[in-house]
Amino acid sequence: MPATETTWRDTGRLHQIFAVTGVLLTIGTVWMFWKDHARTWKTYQVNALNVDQKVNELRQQQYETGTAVVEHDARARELAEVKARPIDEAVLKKFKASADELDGTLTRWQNAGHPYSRVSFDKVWIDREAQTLTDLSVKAKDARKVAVDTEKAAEKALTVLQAKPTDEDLKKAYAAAEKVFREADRAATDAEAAAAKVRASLVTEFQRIVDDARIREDKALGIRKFKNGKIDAAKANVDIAIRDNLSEDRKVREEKVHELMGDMAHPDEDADQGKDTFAALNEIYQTISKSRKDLEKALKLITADAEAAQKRYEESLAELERLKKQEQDREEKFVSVYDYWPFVLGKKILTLPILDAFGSPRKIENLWSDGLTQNYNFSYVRRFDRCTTCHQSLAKTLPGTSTTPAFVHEELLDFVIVPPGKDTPPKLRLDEQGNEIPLTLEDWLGLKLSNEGLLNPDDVTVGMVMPKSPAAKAQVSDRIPSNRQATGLEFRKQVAQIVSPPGESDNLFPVLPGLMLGDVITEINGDPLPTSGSNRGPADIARWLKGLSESGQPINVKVRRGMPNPYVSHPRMDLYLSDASPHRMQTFACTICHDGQGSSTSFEWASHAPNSTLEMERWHDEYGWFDNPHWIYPMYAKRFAEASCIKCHHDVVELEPSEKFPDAPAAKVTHGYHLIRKYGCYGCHEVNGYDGPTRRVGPDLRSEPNYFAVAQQIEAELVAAKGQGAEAATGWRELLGSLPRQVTDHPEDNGARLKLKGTIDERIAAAGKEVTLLDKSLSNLSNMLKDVEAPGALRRPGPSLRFIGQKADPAFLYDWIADPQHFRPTTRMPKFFGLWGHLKDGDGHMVDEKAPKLEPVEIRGLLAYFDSYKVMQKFEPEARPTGISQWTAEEQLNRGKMLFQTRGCLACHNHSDFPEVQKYRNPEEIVQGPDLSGIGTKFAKDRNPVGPDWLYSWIKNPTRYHARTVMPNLFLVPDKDLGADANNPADDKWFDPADDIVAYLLSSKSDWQPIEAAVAAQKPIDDLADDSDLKALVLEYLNEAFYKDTADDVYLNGIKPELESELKGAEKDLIVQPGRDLSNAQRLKYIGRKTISKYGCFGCHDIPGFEDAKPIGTGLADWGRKDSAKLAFEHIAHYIEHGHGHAAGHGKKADADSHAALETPAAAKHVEENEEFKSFYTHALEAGNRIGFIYQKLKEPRSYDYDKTENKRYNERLRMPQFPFTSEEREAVITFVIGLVADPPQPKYIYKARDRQAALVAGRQVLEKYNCGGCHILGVEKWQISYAPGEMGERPEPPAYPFLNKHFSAQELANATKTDKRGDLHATLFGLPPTEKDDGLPVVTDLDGSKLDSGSPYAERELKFGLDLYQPAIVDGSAYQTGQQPVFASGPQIEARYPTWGGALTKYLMPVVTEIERKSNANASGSEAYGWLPPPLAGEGDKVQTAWLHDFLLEPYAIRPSVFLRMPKFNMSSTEATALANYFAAVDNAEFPYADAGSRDRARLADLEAQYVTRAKEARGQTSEVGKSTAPPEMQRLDDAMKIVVNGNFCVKCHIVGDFSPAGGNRAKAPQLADVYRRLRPDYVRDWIANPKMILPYTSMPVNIPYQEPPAVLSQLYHGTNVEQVQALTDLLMNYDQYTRQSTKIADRVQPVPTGAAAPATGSGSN
Amino acid sequence: MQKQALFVAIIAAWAGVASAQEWGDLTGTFVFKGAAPTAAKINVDKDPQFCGLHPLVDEAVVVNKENGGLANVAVYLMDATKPKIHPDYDKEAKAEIVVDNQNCRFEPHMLGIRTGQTLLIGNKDPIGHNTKADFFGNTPFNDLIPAGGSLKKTFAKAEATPSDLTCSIHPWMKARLLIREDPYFAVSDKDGKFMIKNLPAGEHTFVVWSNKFISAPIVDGKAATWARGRVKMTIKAGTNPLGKVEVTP
Repeated sequence: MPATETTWRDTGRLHQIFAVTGVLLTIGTVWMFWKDHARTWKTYQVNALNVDQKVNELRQQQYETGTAVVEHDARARELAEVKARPIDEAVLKKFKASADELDGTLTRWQNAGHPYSRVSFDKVWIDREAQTLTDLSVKAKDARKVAVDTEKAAEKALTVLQAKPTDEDLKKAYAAAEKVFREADRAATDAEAAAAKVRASLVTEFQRIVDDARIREDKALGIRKFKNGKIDAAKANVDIAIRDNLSEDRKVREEKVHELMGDMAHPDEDADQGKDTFAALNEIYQTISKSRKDLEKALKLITADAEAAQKRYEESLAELERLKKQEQDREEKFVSVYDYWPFVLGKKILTLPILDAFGSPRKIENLWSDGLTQNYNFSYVRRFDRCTTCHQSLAKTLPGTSTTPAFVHEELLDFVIVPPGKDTPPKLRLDEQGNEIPLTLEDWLGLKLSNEGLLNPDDVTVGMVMPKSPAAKAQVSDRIPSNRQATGLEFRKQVAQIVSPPGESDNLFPVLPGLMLGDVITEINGDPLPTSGSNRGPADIARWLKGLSESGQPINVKVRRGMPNPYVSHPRMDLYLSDASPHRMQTFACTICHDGQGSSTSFEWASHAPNSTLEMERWHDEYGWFDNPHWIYPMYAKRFAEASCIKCHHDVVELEPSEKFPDAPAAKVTHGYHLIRKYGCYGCHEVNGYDGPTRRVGPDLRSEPNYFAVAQQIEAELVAAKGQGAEAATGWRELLGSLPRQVTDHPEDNGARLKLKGTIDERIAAAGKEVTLLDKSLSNLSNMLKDVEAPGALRRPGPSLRFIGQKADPAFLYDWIADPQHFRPTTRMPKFFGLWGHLKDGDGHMVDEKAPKLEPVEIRGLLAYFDSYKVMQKFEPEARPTGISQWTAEEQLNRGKMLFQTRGCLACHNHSDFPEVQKYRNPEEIVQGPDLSGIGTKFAKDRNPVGPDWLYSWIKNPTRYHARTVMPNLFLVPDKDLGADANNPADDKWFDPADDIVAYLLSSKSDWQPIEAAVAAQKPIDDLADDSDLKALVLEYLNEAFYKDTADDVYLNGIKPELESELKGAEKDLIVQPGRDLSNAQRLKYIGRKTISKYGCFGCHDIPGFEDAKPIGTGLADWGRKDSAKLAFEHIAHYIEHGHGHAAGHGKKADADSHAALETPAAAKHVEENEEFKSFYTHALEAGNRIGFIYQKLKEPRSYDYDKTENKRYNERLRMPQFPFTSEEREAVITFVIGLVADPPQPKYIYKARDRQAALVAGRQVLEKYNCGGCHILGVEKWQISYAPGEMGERPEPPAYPFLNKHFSAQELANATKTDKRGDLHATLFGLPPTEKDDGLPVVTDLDGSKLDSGSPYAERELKFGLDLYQPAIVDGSAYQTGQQPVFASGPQIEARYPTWGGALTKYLMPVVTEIERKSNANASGSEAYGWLPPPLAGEGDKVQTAWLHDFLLEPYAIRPSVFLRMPKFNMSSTEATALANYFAAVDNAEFPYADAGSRDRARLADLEAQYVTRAKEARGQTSEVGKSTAPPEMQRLDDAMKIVVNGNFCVKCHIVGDFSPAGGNRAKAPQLADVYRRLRPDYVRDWIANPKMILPYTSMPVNIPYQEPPAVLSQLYHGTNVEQVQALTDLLMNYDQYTRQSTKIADRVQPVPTGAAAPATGSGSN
Repeated sequence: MQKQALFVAIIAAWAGVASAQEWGDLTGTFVFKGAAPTAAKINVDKDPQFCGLHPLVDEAVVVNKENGGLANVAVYLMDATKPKIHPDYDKEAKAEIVVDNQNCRFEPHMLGIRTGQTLLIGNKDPIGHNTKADFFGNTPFNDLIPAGGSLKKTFAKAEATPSDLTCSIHPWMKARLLIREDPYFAVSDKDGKFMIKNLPAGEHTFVVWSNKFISAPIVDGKAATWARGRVKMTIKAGTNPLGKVEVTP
C-alpha cells in the first residue's frame, strides 16, 4: 500500500486526548503528591519540633542569667587564676632532673656510636622563664587581690546606695568605686594573662621535651624489636642444627645466638661500648622509657590544676552546649550558613512536596516491640506501633528527672505568688555610673515571659523561672492550708482518720508546685488577660504583674499548664516507657497495653476510643473519627485503660500500691477484682485462669473443690439412711469413723481425703453388684473427692446453708430471699426476685402474669428444701461454760457492747452504734462481714427460738457451723472481773464474753418486719389455701421431664418408689410410698431443688445435695474479646427507647418503678450516675458494643428479656440477679471483665514474681482473704516532705550501741542535700503519728510547738503534724535515727502523705481503749495504746522467726498479757500460714524460710563461755558475786546473764519468765521470755534489749542496760562491758531451752533397770 | 498570729529600749473553782509489798483543803523573741534540778528546768523504777533506775508544753516536766501561790497550764478567756499581780 497522508486515527483527536490525559495525569500526580505531603502526622511533627525548639531556646536563656552566670563567671575566674599560677619548684626541679638524666644517657650512647640524637633543652631559658612566671604570678595575685577588694568596696557602696537611692553623693561614690573596681579587674586580668602566657610557653616547651623523649623511646623499641627478630632466626638455626644432628654447626650457631644476646648480666656495659646486642638495646629502651615516664609524670603535675579547672569551666557550660547542639541539630532551614562554606541547602528543603520523598526529616516512627505479637486472625505477626509518629513527646521527661513527664495534659491551675513584700523589695540595680536601672519582673518575681507561646504564639507564656525566686516558690492554691477553723480535738481526729492516698483525682499527672517554663497565664487576680486591644502581649502583662508585685500582696494567677494531645507525655513514667520503669518503651511499645491499630498513622484509623460522648462528638468533628467495627482490638477508652494490666498480671494483687509504687498503679482494675471476689461473681461465672493444667492465661477466680461439703454430705446421707432404717448405715458409720469430720475441718489435707475416698470405694467394690441406694449415693459422693488438676482456690463467698433451717426462721428467710436489702440495706447478696422493670409497659403497668405468681412459690420451695434437711443433719450449737457468775442484764449489755467494740468484731463488721469506725476505713474497702446493726431482730428468741443459741455458737466457734468461713475464732473464753479491789480475790466474778456479746447483739433491734408473704410462709405447708400457682410451677418443670399426660399424673400422684433407681435429681423428691398421697411439702421441696439449680444458689453457698454442681453462668475467662455478635442484645434498644433504664428523658415513671426496691433502703450507697456517664454507656449499648452490654447486664440484668418473655417458657427466662453496685463499682467490674482476654503474650512478658517478690504476691492474697489489715497496720505512713534547708534542723547522732544507729554513706548524705529549683530539700519518711498520752489521738502542734488545746479553735495553716520514724531517714543533711523525738512538719511541707496500709480497727481503738483504761488508771498513757492493740506489723519479718510465725498463725496463743484483744484463730491452711510467714520476711528483706542459727552455735557459745570464765576469775578478787555460779561449768556465762533477768530491778519486774509471773495488772505485764528463743530473731532481741524505742517508738519497755553510764548493779551481776551484757542476755534468751535443761532432771525419773537374777525363760522364743 | 507576735516583739523591743533594764515580778494565786475534789485512791497492784504501804492518790489535781489553793499550776513566759535574762539567774544556769522516785511517786509532781541545767532523777525506793519521757524537741528517754540509783539528763531545746515523766512499771506514777530556755517560769505551791521574779518590763505572753491549757479562768471574780492558755501581761517594775485565778483543771 502506498504511503498516504491519512492515519489510522485522527491525529488531531489523538492530540486532544493526549493533552487531556496528560493534564489529568499531571493533576493526578500533583494531587497524589499533595495528599502525601499533607498527611496530618506531619503537621503534628512540625508542631512538636517547634515546641521543642522553643523550649530549648527558653532553657538556654536560663544559662544566660542569674546563678548560672555567677557560677560560670566563678569558674572562668578560677581558670584564669590557675593558669597564672607559678610552677611548683620541686616539680620543676624533678622535671629538669629527669630531662638531664635523659640527655646524659643519650649523649653517652651517642658517643658510644648508637644512633640517637640528644634531646636538646635550654635549662637557662627554662629557669629564666620560670622566674619570670613566678614574678608575674605574684603580680597577678596582688592585682587580683586589689580587684577583689575594690569589688567588695563597690558592693558595699551599692548596698549603701540601695538604702538611699536618691542620694547623689552616694551615687557618685558608687560610680567611682565601680570604676575603680573595673580598672582593677582589667589590670588583674591583664596580669593574669601575662603570667598565663609565660606559663603556656613553658608548658609547650616541656611538652616538646616529652614528645622528643617519646620519639627516642619509640625508636629504641623499634631497634630492639628488629634485634629480637634476628635472635629468633638464630635460635631457629640452632633448632635446625639439633634436628639435623649437625653437632659442629650447632656450636657455631649457639655462639651466634649468645653473640646477638650480648651480656645480659651487664647490659649497661654493652650499651656503653656501643654494642648492638639485645642486652644493650634493651637497656637503652628501658632507660629512655623510664626517663620519658618521669618527665610525663612531672608535666602532669604541672598541668593538673589547670586541666581540672578547665574541665570544671567546660562543665559549667556543658548543658548549655548540649542544648545549643541539640537546637542546631534539629534546626530546619532552607539555607544553612556554616563557617567553612558560604552556604548549603538546609534540611527544610527536604520537607517540600515531592522532595519529601527523599530522606525527609518528617518520618514515620516505628516501634518494634520485642517479641510481642498481634493476632491477625490467621497468624500471629510481630507487633509494631507508630504511635510516636504523632505522640512525639510521649517519653519525654522534665530535665533532671527520670520519670516526671515533660508535658502534662492541659489543665488550669491556680497559683499564689508571694512577692518579696513592700518592706523588703528586691535590690536596686544600678549601672556602672550608679544610675538606677528600672527593676523588671525578673527582679521582682524571678519570672520572665516569653515573646511567643509554645503552640499558640499569642499565649502569654512563662519563659523563665529563676531558681528559689517567688515564682519558683509559687504554691498551688489548693495545697495552701486554709484558714478553716476547728478545735484542736477535731483536727486531731481528722489526722487519725486520714485514709486516702494523695492525688485522688481524674488527672493522673502530678501537679508540681512553682511556676514552670511553658505555663500559660490566663488570669491574674481573677481578671482574664486581655485578648485584644493595645495592652495585650507579654510586655504589658509583665508590667501588670510587676505593678502587682510592688504592692506586696500575694498574687493569684490562673495558669494553663501542659499541652493538648498529641503533644502530651505519658503520665506514669515511673511505670511505663522510661528506662527506669518496668515497662520500657523499646520493649513494650504502646498497643500491647492500649490496643488499637498501632500501624496506623491517622487519627481515625488508629482506632482511638473516646472516653465520653462529648469527646466522641468532638473527635468526630475535628478528626473525622468514626467507630471502626472492623478493627477488633479498638483502643481501651481512658476509663478502662487499666483493663489490660491483667493480661500479664494474673495475680492482680501485685498491682496494688507498694513501697516502690505508692501511687496506685492500677486502682480501678484492682477495685474491680476485689468487687468480683467479695460479691462472688465467680460463683456463677467461672474465671478460669488456666488453659490446660499449667498454662496461665489470666487471673484465676474459681471456687475451691467442694471436699468439705462432700464430707458433710456423706455424714448427712448416713443420718438420712439411718432414719429410714437402713442397717448398713451403722456399718458405714463405724467404718468411716471420724474421717468425714477430718475432711470437713481440713479439706486441704489430701491424706485424710484420699483415705476417706479409698475406704468408701473399697467397701463398694467389695459389695459387688449388691449395692444399696445408700451405697450408690456414697459412691457418687466419693467420686467428688477425687484429685483436681490445678484446682481453684477461692472459698464460696456466701455462708453455708447446710443448717440454715436451724439458724433462721422461715419468715426471715422468705423475706431475705425475696429482697435481701429489705433486712440489710448494705448486703452484698443480690436480688433475684421482683426484678420486673422489663415486664412493665411504658406506663408502668405489669404485662406479665407469671412472675408475680410463680416467684413466691419458688421462694416457698427453697424454704421447704432447707426445712427438709433439718432432720437429716443436726447442728449442735456450742455448749455454754459453767461457773459463770450472775450478772444483771444491764451489766451484761454494757460489757457486751464494750467487748463488741474492743474484741475485734469491728475489724470486719459495721454497726450503727459505732459509726466512727467507718471513718478509719478506706472508702473503697469492701467491709468483710455484714453490717450487724439490728441483728437482734433476726435472732430474737420470740421470733426465732434457736436464734440466741445459734448466735452464741457462731460467735464462740464459727467453724462449728460453717467449716470454711473466714470468720475466725476469737477465743472468747470466760474471764475474771477483778471487782472494785484488784487485790481482793473475794470480789472477783466470772463472765462469759461470748454470752455478753450475744446479749448486746440481741439488744440491737431495727424496725424491720417481714413482708406479708413471709409471714404467711410460716403457716404449715399443706395448708396452702390455693395451690394453683404451685401446680402451675410444678407442671412447668414436669413438662420438661415427662410427656404432658405423665406430668399431670405425677403432679397428682407422685412417682412410685420402684422407679427410684431410674430417677435423677429433683424428681426423687416426688416419690410416694405406697398408700400415701403426694404432699404439698414434697412438691415444694421439688420446686426448691429445681429453683436452686435454676438460680445457681450453690455458686455462693454450700447447699446440701449440690456438692458437685457447676457454675451456671457464662465463663468470663475470655469475655474481654467476646464477639459482640454472640451477645444477645435482643430488644434492648426498644427497652431503652421506651423510657426504661435511665437513658431517655421520658418515661421516668417506669424507670422509678423498676428501681424502687433498689433505691429505697440502699440510698446511702447508691450514687446517681451523671449524664456524661450515662450517655457514654447508652451509646456503647446502642452501638452493640460489649461494654454497653455488660453495663446494662450489671445494671438491669433481666432487661434483655424485654418483649421476649411471651415467647419463652418461665424457666427459660434470664436469671442473673441484680447486685447493689454503685455506678463507680459497676465501672470497676467492667474494667476487670473486659481485661479478661485469655490471650497472654509470650511467657517472658507474663509477670512472674520470683523469690521475694513471689512471696510478697502470695502473702498479699492471704492477707486480703483473712482481712489481716482490718486489725493490723501492715504498712506505716509514708510522707514526702520538702523544706527549706535548716527548717527541720540538724540532728546530732544520738549516742547508741554501734549496731543500732544506721549509717548513711557520704554519697547518700550528699544526694540528700541537693536542693530543687525552689531551693527546697526533700525527704521521704516512714512512720506513724505519735499519739497523745491523754487520749490516744495523734499529736498535732501549733507553729510554736505547743500541743493543741482540745477546746480552742485553730486555723489549719497554723498546724504542725508529728511522725515517729520507723525507719531512719536523712533530713536536713543529717541522719534522723529512729527512737528519737518525732519529726514535725507543717501542711505545706508535707507534699504527700500516704496513709497506713490497713489498721482501721487499731487506729479506731486507740482513743477508745485509752478512755476505757483511764477509768481504772487515770494516768494510763494513750501513747502506749499500740501495745494493747493488734501491733503494727512493720518490721515483723526482721522480728520473728519464720517457722514460729507459721505455727503461731495456725495455733495462735496469748503473747502480750496487756492486750485488749487476742490474735484470733483463722481456719487457714498450712500453705497459707507459710505464705504469710514468708511474706513478712520478704517485706523486710529478712532471711526466709530458714535463718542462720549463729546465736545457737555451740562452738561459739563455748568460746564465749571460756573467755567469760577467765575474766570472771580475774574479777573474783574485786567483786564478790561475779562468776560464782552454781550452774554447770558450761553454763556459767548464761547463768550470770540469768542473774540480770531475775534481779528485782530488771526483766522480772514486768516479764513473765518460765513459771514466774510478776504480780500486778495485765496492762503492766510483759511477754513470756521463755518463748523468745523460738519466737524472735537474735539480732532483733539484741537490738531490742539495747534500745526498744528505736524499734517500736510506742513501747513502754525501758532501756535496762544504757549505752552511757550503765547502773553499777549490773556489773555485780555479770562481769563485762555493757555491750557484753547485752550479748550475754541475747545468748541466754536465744538458748533458753538449752539453759533450762540443767534444771530438769529426767535421769532421776527413768525407771531403773531391775537388778538381781533373771527370771527363768518361759517361752521358746530364744531361737 | 505571726502579726501579733511581731507586734508583741516590737512593743517588747520598744519597751526594752524605753525603760532600759527595768525588772518586775509576776505573782498570783490559783484557786480551785468549786468544792475541792477528793483525790482518787490509787489501786496499787504492782509491788504492793512496798508501794502499798504508802497512801497513794492521783495527783492530777492537788487542792489545799484550807484555802482552796491549787498546786502544780505552771506559768511560763512564751514570747516570740528571746527575753533579756536578769543577771540574778546566772548562778543557776548550770544548776542541778532534782526529781525523785520516792514512795512509788515522783517528788515533786511538777517541775521546771532550763536548757543547760541538769535533771537528776533519783530513786530513793528499795525497788526498781524506770522513767519514761517523750518530747517534741528533745531526745526522748526511758531508762531503768535500779533501787538507790540515779540518772542525769540535759536538754537541748525548750518545749512549748510540759512533758510527762512516767514509770512503766508502776503505771500510776506521773510527774510533769517543763523545759524552758529562759528562767521565767514558776509552779504554784501548795497554797496555789507562784512568783516569777525579775521579768524584763514590757508586755509579755504567759502560758498557764495545769494538765491542760487553762483557757477559761475566773480572774479576781471576773470570767476571762485565755485562748490556748495564753494571757498577756504588761510587766512594770515592782510586783505585778495576776490576781486570784479560779480554775478547774
